[in-house]
Amino acid sequence: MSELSDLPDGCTQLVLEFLSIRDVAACAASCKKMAALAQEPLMWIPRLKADFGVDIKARLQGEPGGQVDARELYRLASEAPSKDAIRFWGCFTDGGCDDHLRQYWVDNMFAPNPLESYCSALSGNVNCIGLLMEPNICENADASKEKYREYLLDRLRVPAGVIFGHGIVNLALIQQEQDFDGAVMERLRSYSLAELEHLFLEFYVELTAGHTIGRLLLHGLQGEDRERERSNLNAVASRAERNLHTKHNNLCFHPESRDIQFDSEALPLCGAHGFTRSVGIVERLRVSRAGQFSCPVLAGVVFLAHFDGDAVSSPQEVFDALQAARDSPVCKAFNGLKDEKAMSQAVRKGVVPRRTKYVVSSSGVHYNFAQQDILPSDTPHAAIGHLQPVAWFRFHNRRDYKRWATLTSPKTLWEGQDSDYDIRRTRRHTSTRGASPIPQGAAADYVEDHPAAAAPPAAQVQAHAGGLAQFVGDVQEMAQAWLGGASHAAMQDSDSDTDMSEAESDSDDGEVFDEEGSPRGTKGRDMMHIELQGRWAGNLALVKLIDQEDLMHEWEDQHDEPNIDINHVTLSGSVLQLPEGVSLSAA
Amino acid sequence: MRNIVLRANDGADHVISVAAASLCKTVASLLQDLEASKGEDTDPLIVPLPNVCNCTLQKVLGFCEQQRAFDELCTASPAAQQADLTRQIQAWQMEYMQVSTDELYHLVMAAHYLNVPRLLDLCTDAMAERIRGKSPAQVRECFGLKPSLSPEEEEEIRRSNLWALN
Repeated sequence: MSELSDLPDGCTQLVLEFLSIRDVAACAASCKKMAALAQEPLMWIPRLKADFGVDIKARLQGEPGGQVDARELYRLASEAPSKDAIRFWGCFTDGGCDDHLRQYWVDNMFAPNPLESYCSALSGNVNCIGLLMEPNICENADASKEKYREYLLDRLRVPAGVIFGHGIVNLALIQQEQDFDGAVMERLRSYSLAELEHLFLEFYVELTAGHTIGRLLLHGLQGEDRERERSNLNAVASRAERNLHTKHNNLCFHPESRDIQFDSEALPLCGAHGFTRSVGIVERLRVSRAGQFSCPVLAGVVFLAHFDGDAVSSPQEVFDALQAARDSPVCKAFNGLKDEKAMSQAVRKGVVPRRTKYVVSSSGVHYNFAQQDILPSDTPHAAIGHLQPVAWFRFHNRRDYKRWATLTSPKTLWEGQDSDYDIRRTRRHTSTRGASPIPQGAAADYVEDHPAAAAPPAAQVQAHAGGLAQFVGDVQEMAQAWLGGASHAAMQDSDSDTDMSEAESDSDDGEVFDEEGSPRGTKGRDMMHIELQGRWAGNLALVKLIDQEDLMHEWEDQHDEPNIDINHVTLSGSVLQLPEGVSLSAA
Repeated sequence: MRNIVLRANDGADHVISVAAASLCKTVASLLQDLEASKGEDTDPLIVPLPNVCNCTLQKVLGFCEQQRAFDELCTASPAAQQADLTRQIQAWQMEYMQVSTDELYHLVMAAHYLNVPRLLDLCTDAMAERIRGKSPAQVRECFGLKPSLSPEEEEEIRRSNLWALN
């Protein structure tokens, strides 16, 4: 009887390649030779790529760092805990930043919280890049920001309550009546950091002017505690002042365009190559444009790439590499692809990869792309591997939303063969059939039905007579300023637990209306969940914001040109730590 | 056109076309070398295969001829019929792989020696199919492997692979 173990190693390896890891484990325990073969890095390196998208290059045996245990790495990848958000550090944009203000900086888009947003200066094809850092660098920064936010919330609780009480002095409030307090905090928590800082500074100015209303910031404190808190307030006020009114001062700018910006701030924190030891294994995306935006993003595309940090040695070189990434042909090919028709044409031309799936949800549509289709010349830089488009998305405009609003879960319109791609391959240009066969019957009838009446304010307070005229005057003035107009910043996502919809004039189907009853904003179509096909790996995420939905008239935005606003793009999955001697392949 | 004769280890000769022979990379490169040194010639090329028995060789050649025929069909057929053709090929390959484990072993060896990548892929996949879902003991039984690991070693390997079983 001939034995499996007599086969040449190459053949046995081929057999193992066809097997699942469970079956490989059974073979390994069957004989000595199989046990040895099942340990081979050559056996696991391709599997890491196929199953997790992680393409590694390992130093050869004998070199410093030694031979990598690729099987162990595979095990780590398969056991890495799933995270709702892989925190990429947003550090590059070529679309500028609204008013060059810190509060609209591109990292807000990568930060997985709904409270802050990125607002570009330019109006289309804005490329934003996030890099994966050493674990906890971004998380720690986020936590410290959260602590600062909590402090502001805590100090603002009583004064904001007075403002939200519509200028009526309510003694019960000051004595912490529960219901009202809860409503105040709910409203405050929906504010972005910048809004909280604004509100804080308003009270702080009153405090330094010696007015009663300002002293509410120190409510509940006596004696020494009060004095100590006063100095805390001073420090916080100067931080808020700096955050709100100073420009981002650690940015590198492109010599010819001030809109191409790179934040080198976190690089020194993590050592020369700090961000190269981790790689994100991405399974899902979430794109949110929730908020009161005059120019919410309409269409965009998310790319992932391997960044080999060993190939760069200074922040300037990182900056150069990131610019090369956005200049690469595959990235540029998506410029202007703002709808399905433009996508189809690009696929036919062969400038973007084959699509594998077309999905519609109540918020928008998205395409998934084929993982293996590497287009020629799409390795942008020695340090950056193939830029892989992962998913393209487009939010519904108001008209399309009417058609899909009743969809309760995402619906796959087609999956598998990309007919536009096949047309290209077989060189049959006679067909004019589009690649997006939307089933006509699938669209549910939409009935316009919305009570346009304004909802009551966040809470009602019983009027109490009395109080100083000056104090009441101050309160009224600030209440007017804070409750009157719409703010620029984002509010909470429409599907988050603490939905602020009660505070808005909100109808059953999720649309929001202004005082005249005209629809306003993108509520109900502001959040997309994109399931990826297979796992995609990268330590560099590039989000191209292709186009915006121009709602400037709805929000009385007086700018000449629209920009693009986005709340966040979150990449979910797990993070794999690469051992010494292993780096990501940028080939 | 040169004739190619493959000679099995028992001396049996098989004449095959250049087109079919080109699927065997080993033969193809021999042919190339020969033409480079002697130029166009009609002398038959005789390739002795001391490692391959007659019955395995026949089976390999059957694969080469059939694949060549399929290739020609594929280029000639319109795009609409490609899917149908792919199904036909898969059905033929499935039928072709109805062999004993021993025959399969010899086929892998021959495909490896003659360097026929497509046949090697097909055979190793078929071997993998025979392994799927089996326990270490069943794998040994299926391929007639003598136990070369001590029970302790086997247990150690099993333990280090627990993560793969989920």
